[in-house]
Amino acid sequence: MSKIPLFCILLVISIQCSYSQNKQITDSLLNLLEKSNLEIEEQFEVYCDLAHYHTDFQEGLQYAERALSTAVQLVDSFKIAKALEGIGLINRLLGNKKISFNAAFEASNIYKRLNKVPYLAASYTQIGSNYIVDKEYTSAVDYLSRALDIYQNVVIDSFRQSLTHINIGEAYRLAHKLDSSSLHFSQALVLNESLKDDAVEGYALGNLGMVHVAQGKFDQGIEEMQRAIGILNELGDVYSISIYEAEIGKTLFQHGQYQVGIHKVKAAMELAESNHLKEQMRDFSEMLVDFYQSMGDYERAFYYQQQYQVYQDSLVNKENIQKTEQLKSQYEIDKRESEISFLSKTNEAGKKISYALAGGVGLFVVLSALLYHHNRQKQKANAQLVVQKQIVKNREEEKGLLLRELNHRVKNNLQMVSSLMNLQLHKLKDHPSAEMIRSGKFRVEAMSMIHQKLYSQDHTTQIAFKEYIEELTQNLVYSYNQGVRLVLKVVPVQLSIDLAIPLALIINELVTNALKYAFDSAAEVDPIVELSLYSDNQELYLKVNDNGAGMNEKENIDAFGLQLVHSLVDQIDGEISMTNEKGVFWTLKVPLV
Amino acid sequence: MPNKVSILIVEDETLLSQDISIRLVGMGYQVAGIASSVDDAIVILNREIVDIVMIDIMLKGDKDGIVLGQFIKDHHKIPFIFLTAHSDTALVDRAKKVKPCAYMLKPFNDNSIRVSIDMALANFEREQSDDEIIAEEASNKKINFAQVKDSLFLKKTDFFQRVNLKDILWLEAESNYTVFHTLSEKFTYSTVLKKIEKKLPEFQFLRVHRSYIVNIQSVTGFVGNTLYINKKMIPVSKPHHNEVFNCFNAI
Repeated sequence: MSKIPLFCILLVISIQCSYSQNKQITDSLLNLLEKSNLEIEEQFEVYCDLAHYHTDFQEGLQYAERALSTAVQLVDSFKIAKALEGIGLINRLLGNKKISFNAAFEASNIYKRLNKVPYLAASYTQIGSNYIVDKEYTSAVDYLSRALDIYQNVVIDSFRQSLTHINIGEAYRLAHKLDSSSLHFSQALVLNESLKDDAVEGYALGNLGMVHVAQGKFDQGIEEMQRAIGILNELGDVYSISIYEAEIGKTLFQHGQYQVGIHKVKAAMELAESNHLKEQMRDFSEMLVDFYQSMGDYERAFYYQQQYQVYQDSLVNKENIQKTEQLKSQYEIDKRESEISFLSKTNEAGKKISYALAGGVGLFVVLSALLYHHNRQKQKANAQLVVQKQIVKNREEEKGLLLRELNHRVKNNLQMVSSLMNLQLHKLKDHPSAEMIRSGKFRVEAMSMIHQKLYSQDHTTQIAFKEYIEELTQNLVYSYNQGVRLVLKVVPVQLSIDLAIPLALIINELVTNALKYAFDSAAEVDPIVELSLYSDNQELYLKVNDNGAGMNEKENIDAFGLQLVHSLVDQIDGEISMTNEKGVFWTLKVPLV
Repeated sequence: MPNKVSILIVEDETLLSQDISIRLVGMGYQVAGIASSVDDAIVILNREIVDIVMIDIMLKGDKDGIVLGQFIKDHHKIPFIFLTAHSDTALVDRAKKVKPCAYMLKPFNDNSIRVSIDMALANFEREQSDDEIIAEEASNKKINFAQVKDSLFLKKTDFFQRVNLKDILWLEAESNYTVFHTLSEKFTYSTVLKKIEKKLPEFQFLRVHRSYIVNIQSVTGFVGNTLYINKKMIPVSKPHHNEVFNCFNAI
């Protein structure tokens, strides 16, 4: 019988309100939350209240968690602790012991750190109460003692001190440490002497009575419990009254006062029934079963056994429901956890994507940098190239300038040579050697003219030979024999200077010869000197002929001139032949390389 | 009196200027002077009678031949020839702007001197005349004569002589030839009289007959349809009768 634990825990801190009241509060709070544009601090308060008052613990928990996240958002440790406390409380109600304890511990740690002593004490009380429910009385006493210490030494609060004494006493009582238990209850009563609080007095007395009964001090215990009932009646604590009543009944029954005992228990049961205290109904009916059994009244025993069964079933059902609830909440938690893990995975994936993106961006940046670098290099190279180009251009210009200067000097010097010869020729007048100087002058002029042609044609090494021949022969005709008609049959041809100069000198000699010696007398009718030049791409053919008297080997010949011709023909690998019929007829064949 | 055409040589290379001088004299020209700088040349130009100037573009000192060319263009209406080795294109470009009558390229020879003088007179004449004549002459580019100031440059075989307009007495057509009769000598051109008539200054020369053009100043008298220039009798044909005698009546 002593196995039946009858206890009343004084969760003094949380003021129990009726379901309907809580519902009203919840609704008004939700309304407030929906309609008002609340500051974040106000939101926090509303969430806390909602967590506290919400009739559906599950939803209450959600509000508690919202309160926590709001607190985190506010970076307010104190508020975080408060929210954690709420979470602990609701999880306790939902049966999630571990979570509840963790939250409560965390909250208490924060309070401790923040030195919020009253809150810390309340938190310890909460934890201790939870340990009592979990039947871990040693831990319960430990935490409650810490709370008590605070109330005794730090925050002097006799009321809470006494309440804590009651809780410790209850813990000891349930742990069957009856001496310690009675000590604490007595302490509470002593403290209450000055407080004169009915609730403290009632609970302390009642529980002390239970202790005394357990210690065998039946009369003292019953007396104390009856006094407690008297006090609690005024407070309307049906729960405690029914327990004390039943305890008194049980004690009386055990001492042979069967009818009074049964009566007391039945009264307690009625009280419990009218207040829907199922647990008590079950316990009390079980008591009655025992009573009737020991009395041999099996019919009644059976009746109460049935009663017991009904409440047991209902309680089991309740437990089941609780368990289901627990499972449900566990499921919710799992779901949320899986959601969280999913989110974190998504996050992970997001991270991967962002890593990839970052990598991409990095790569892009690197490539850009490379491109930029490359571009810079290119620009540098280009700039260098421009500079070099300019240098090359300048050098080219310098070269061109030098070349022009050189050409200028060559032409001037050749001019000077021919001028010198002309001046000398002028001095010699009819001197026998004058004719030789004259020939020399024309040879120099023939060469000079090559240079003139050469350098007036964009600095190439090619001579437009047709134009050259025209000018050369015109000068000769003008200078030697203006009566001669010159017939030119020359194809336009470009010759290199290496060929042009010897060829020019050859033509100079042959034409000069014809002009000087072919026509003896002025009586000649239409004296003609004919020159033709043509080419078949392989060879160049030059023909010079006149319609004069023909060559007289002894007289009309410039020996040096002809020698010169032959030498030059050799030099250009040509072949020359001459016929002497009706004038001289020269034919020259020169290979074009 | 037909005078020798007088040429001023502007050249700072003494050997070259002497050579040119010899060659020109050999051809039948007269050398008005040899200047080695632009300033010297200007002195000679102001003092002597100069018909043509031969200028070496490259001259020592701060003024080159081109400056002198511009000076002649501005102050003396006579043809000038640029002598150049044709080496510096920038210089040649500058030279072109002055519009010389001809270029003579170094190294030169007798023929190139002759050609450059021909060219200079032809171009000078062309510049003075109007475009119509140029177009007509395009078919026969060979220079016949040129008018510079109050003289005609008439060609004697292969060189020019300067004849003052007042010394030209009359022109006479002989088949396809035209003969200029001047105070001292005759110049024969292988050009029909009609073409030459167009190039003569109108105010001084008058067509009196199919075969005759006379210098109005040279006419010494007339009897009936005959004009006298000194002892030469020149007939006046009917189509020209009125014009001719109106002219003399006016005098």
